[in-house]
Amino acid sequence: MAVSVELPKLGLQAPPALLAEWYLPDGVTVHRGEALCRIETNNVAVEVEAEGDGVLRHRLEAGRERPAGDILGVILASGERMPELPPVGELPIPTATANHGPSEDEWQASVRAMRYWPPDATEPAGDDPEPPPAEPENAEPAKAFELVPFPRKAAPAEPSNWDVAPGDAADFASALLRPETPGPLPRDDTAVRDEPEMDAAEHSHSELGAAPETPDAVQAALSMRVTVDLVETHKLRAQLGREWRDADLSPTNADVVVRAVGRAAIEFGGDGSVALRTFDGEQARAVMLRDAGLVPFRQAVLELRKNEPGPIDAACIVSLFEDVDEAEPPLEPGSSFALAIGGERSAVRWDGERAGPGAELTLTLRCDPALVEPFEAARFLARVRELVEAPYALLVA
Amino acid sequence: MTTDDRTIRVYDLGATSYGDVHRLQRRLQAQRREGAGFDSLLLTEHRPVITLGRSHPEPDLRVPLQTIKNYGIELHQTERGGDITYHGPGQLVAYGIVDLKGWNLGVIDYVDGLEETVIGVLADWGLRAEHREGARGVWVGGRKIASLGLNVRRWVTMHGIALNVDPDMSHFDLINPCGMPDVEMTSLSAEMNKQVPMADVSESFVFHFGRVFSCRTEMVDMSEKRDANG
Repeated sequence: MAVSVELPKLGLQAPPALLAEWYLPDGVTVHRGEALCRIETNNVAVEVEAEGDGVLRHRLEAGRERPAGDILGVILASGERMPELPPVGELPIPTATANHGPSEDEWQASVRAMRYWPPDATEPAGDDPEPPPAEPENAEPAKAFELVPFPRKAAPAEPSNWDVAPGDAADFASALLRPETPGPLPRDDTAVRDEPEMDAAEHSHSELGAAPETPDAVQAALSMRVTVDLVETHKLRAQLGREWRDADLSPTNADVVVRAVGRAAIEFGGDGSVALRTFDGEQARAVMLRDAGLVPFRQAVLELRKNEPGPIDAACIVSLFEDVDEAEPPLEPGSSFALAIGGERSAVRWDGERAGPGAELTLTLRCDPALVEPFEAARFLARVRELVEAPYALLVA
Repeated sequence: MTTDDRTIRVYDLGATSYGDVHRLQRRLQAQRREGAGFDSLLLTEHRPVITLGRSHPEPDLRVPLQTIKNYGIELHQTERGGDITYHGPGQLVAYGIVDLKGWNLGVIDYVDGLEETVIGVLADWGLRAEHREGARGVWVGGRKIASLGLNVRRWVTMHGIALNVDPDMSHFDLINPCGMPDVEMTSLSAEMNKQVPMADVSESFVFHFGRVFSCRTEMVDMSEKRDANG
């Protein structure tokens, strides 16, 4: 049975709310409890979850204000037969520029009247007496709702944003009473630190491998962070900047991280393809690097400078957020990993005996736990940090 | 709804980094969504930080970004609604992790209640504060004294409201608070023209929270937990 995705009623006199963002694209398989989209009103962001399993179809585009109760999308159950559904032409997708077809209110009424999801028990009978509006003459069937076949294979659904493991119990004592220091703490080099978002990832490298896998752990989206010390990275960058002076080329932190990600991906059995996404205001630019971990470093840096965006199908997309310390990278369907590089910030560095000036940044890794073992992801992130903090190994092609 | 039906555990966390409490909130919300845990109210003062709403990833600053960094102010993206805001010492931040279904409350009712709580607090100091149509937060004579932003998932809230008690107001000059270039920020101390103890404001907030939401408030003694963890 198909299930509707509705704009929830936020109060007795709920104002219209903005459908701010679809977290998951049209046509992907979703599971009950996954966050599908976010609506916003009056400084409140509400994440709407899937009420059932199936294939998500968007009804409304993000960026529009809608009243409570509006149907934003539909989740079609697996194997649901098309004959039960209304003719394609009667369900045009309203768009901001559409100037034909039924109005959105009419469309909404028609969708309700069709009732291919369970009627709301609280809704009085005959609530929508209007018949579905006839298809306008100038309607374009190509823009209409095509319910089968779905254009996507069973693509990995993007995990719900900002999610954490449902079973991740709050332990105030451990969560709150960590020692407070002005900068990075002395630490075990193999530990993933700075609070990865799942319990399993809070353990050390070796403990991760032994941690038991739980259903809760793999149901949730995986998001984890490490803080990376940049002292050695700065030295490497300065040295290479001098060596490459002829080409007026100097590597950035992002170049080093991309290199490290490519190298770590190969070590973990991947193909080492990495895409670097940068943002200039609202504009995003992505550059694909096929052998990020293996081609000579200078060549890799030159490739990343090219302004020739091509198709992006990298196993890992690295997004550079220079202005934000901790950012959640968008995870594209089909990509195993998404990594965000936060902005560089000054820090107090502890060398075991005394404190001194240093620099650091935060790396945030997101991955689909359906595709990647959480423990492997934590180890991957730890390895990336290790390579960035001791980057001379990256010079070897 | 009686007070027996609603109970909230209150944790006064003291001075914290934003990231620590943010992670804690996310865990508590995830736990509460699964029907476990407790409704919780976290009270804290953050070290200087600028946070961004989910729909406003680009910081709306009045100064170059490097200036923010030079001040030692962190920058965090969050999942709450609303635009850019500043938190820092001298500001009481209250985060409620509340299962609204369990409290039989709508989201808007809860938001109104948070504002009403702050209005009650300010009334204890003789200040007349108010809601403002179309602009969330709490206002005193046209100046904004408290900012609000929430995230709700499966009817469980996180994030909350921040009341300026006596923060470094010059830090607000670095941003366009809430994305509004003309907004004038104020604080309880500025309005009273005297210093106000944060502990008194916290106590007042808990009292009015209980009053507004008709809930029982249980203070959790954090010092015991600190001792227990050595």
